[in-house]
Amino acid sequence: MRISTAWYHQLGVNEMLNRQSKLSESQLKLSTGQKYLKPSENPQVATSLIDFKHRVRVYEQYQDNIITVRQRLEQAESGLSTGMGILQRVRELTVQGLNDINSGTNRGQIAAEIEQLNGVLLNIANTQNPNGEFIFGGYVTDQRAFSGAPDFTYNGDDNQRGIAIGPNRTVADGDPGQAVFGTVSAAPGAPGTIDNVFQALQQLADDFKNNVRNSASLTDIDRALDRFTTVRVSLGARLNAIDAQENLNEEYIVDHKTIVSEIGDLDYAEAISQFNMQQTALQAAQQSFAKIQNLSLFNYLR
Amino acid sequence: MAIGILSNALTGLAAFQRSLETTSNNIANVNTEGYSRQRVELRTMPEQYTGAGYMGSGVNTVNVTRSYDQFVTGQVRSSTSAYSDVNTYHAMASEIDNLFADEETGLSATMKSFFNTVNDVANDPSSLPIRNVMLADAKSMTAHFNIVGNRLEDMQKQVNDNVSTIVKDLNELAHNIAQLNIKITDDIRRTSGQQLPNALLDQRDVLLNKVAENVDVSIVEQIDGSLSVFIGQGQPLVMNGIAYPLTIENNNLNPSQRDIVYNGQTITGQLSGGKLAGNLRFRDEVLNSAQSQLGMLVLGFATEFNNQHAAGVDLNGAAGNAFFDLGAVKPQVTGTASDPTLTLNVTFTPPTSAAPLGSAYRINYTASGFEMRNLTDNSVNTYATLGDLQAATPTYGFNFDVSTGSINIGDSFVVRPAMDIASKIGVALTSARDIAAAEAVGLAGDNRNALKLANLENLALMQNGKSTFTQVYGQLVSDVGGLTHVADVSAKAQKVLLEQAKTTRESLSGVNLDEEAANLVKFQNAYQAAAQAVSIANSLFDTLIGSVR
Repeated sequence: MRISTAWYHQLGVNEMLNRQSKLSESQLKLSTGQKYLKPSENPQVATSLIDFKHRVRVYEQYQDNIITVRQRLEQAESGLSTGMGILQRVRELTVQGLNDINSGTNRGQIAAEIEQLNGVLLNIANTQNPNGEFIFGGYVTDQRAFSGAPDFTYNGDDNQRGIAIGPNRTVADGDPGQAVFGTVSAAPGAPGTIDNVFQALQQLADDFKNNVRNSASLTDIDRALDRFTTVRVSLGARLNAIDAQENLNEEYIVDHKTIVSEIGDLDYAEAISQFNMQQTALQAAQQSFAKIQNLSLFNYLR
Repeated sequence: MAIGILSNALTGLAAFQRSLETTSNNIANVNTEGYSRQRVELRTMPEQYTGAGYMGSGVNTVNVTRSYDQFVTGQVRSSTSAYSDVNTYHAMASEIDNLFADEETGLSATMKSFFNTVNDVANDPSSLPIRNVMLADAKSMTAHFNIVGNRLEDMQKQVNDNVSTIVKDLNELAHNIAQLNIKITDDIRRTSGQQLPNALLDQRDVLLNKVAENVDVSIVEQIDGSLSVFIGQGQPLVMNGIAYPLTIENNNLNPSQRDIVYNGQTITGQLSGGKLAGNLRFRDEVLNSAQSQLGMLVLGFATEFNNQHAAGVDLNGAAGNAFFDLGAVKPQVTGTASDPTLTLNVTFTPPTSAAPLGSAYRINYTASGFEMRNLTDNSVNTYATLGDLQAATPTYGFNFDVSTGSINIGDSFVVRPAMDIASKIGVALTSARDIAAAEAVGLAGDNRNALKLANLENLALMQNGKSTFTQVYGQLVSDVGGLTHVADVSAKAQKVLLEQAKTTRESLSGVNLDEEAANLVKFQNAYQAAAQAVSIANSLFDTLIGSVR
């Protein structure tokens, strides 16, 4: 076949350009680590990658949420643990105070200590989280859960705030104060209505101050201790549940990241060998171009 | 006798000089686009009768011809049209493909980042700093929507600009071809059709190739050597020495799109091939659908988010306001109507739910009334009267009304209700306190509505409960990617065909320097031999004179 000199030259140039662009594409893939640089290279994979990466991000958000919930549950748990110690001490003092041996003066001293301890317990009930929310107020997080002496009224509500920790799964990040510190049934014979542990302790302290012994107070304290235990068990159960959910989420994330990597990440071994082959091909094209372009009859007509 | 030698040798000198000239002209044009190599046709001069018989009387240069094949040249022209069509389409589709390429910085990641901040608000509903982060993230998400939306709108403008440029180029090319037609017919007439103006013919072929790059043409050669050029369905662009100009007008139904008008008649839909078809097909198949799918996603997302937000209560105890501001959305209408005066008044109206939304609707008017097809899921609804249709469309985000003229049987329209919403959406809320995270009034720690807002991304709220927002985005990316992929494959195939056609043409018409070098040697030798004959004639003459002296 006749060959046109200019076209032959052009074909040689085209071939080099073509190989160069393939080489540059391989280089980009090597430097980004992506199997596909554009959705059009494999539209199905592009859609799957968007979907899988989205799911991974959703679960990573659940993991972040779990960290928040865990901090809050642990804060409540440590508050309650301190609170139980305080109630144990109050119980010891009460047993002492109810004892016949003690004088009115002694009872007055005991009453003073109980009042102090009641204050500490109230502080626990009014614990704030790092964002300044009162953690035992239900949804009413912007007011003290319990007001101070002498009323000790509960200002919160009985809601529990849910935090999303998994698909269609929320866990309560705290307990309403009334459920933790409240509804200690009124001791028989006690004046007025005792609605919560603070009022009960106040009543107890007042009784001792007046040198009155009311053994029902011990029952109140035991009830409060029982309630603390119940809530702590529930907190522990929730902590276990979020641990389990965290593992499940982690498994899901790892699985999906593996899929994303399998379908979207570059196979370096294959890519590097392809890169080398393309490099050789380009060099071959360049060398043969230089050689062939030198061939001309005019070289001999001098 | 010496006279015979001299005159024979002189005809040879003249003929080989012409041949050397032609060869040097071939060499000079080795790199000229569209040049066809030429050669000199030689013929023996008529013999003279002598007593000894018929004596040859030298050589005559009869013609300079070009190596040319009409079929091969036509093949290059039609391959050029086909390649330039798919290549333009592919280049423009790739831009959108690139726009959606990176999932890390893509819209899906931006939306997820926003939903993460909604989650954070659900975790800490009373924290103002966290609410502010959500508001800031909402703004950066809408800014991202705006960037992508504006980029797509720029591409619409680019298509319009390209169409205008192409039409301008076509008119200029047509004018030049008409001028060349006149010169060529004149030149041919001068030689009574015996000899052809090769360079002008080559030039005209180059111009025709440029026309073919822009639009598919068909060509009819006239007896006088002029070419008639037809486009579309036989509309003449050039006839003899006259060029017929194309003009650009705004589309009647959709003033943002340009129509190509020939002699008062719109022929946009009839043109095929070349950059023109590449641009128009790209707009109709890729750009419009990408824009309206993105519009559907943004509209559906903003509608559902605003609905849920309105169901909540903000930190001030007030019911939630609209979170997103949809902006002045303007539906796009395209179509065909038999009444040339018909203009439609199609306006945007916010839908109440994302579920029924489609990206585009085709409305056909038939003998039995209106038929509306949702082009996303291909569901069809029929309406007996215009009133019925008008009552139904607000669900889908638009009002449909006739401004002037009338709708007739056979008319067909495509409405894209929220095509431009991505470039217009913004955040309506200004204060972090206005985020309606709660369900009940006065409860700072109430996160119930924020939880529901955060969960919207996991719900299949779009396409009648079939798809989540991310899935709709995934479909958009996959649709664009698929079309680009197909265009890439056919562009590569057309490129091979074009190269084959060019190779065939070049092997016939192109200049080979080795061949020309050989010819140079051949003609130089012949020229030297003829000169030698002159010298011999001279010495013969001298001999004769000397013997007489």
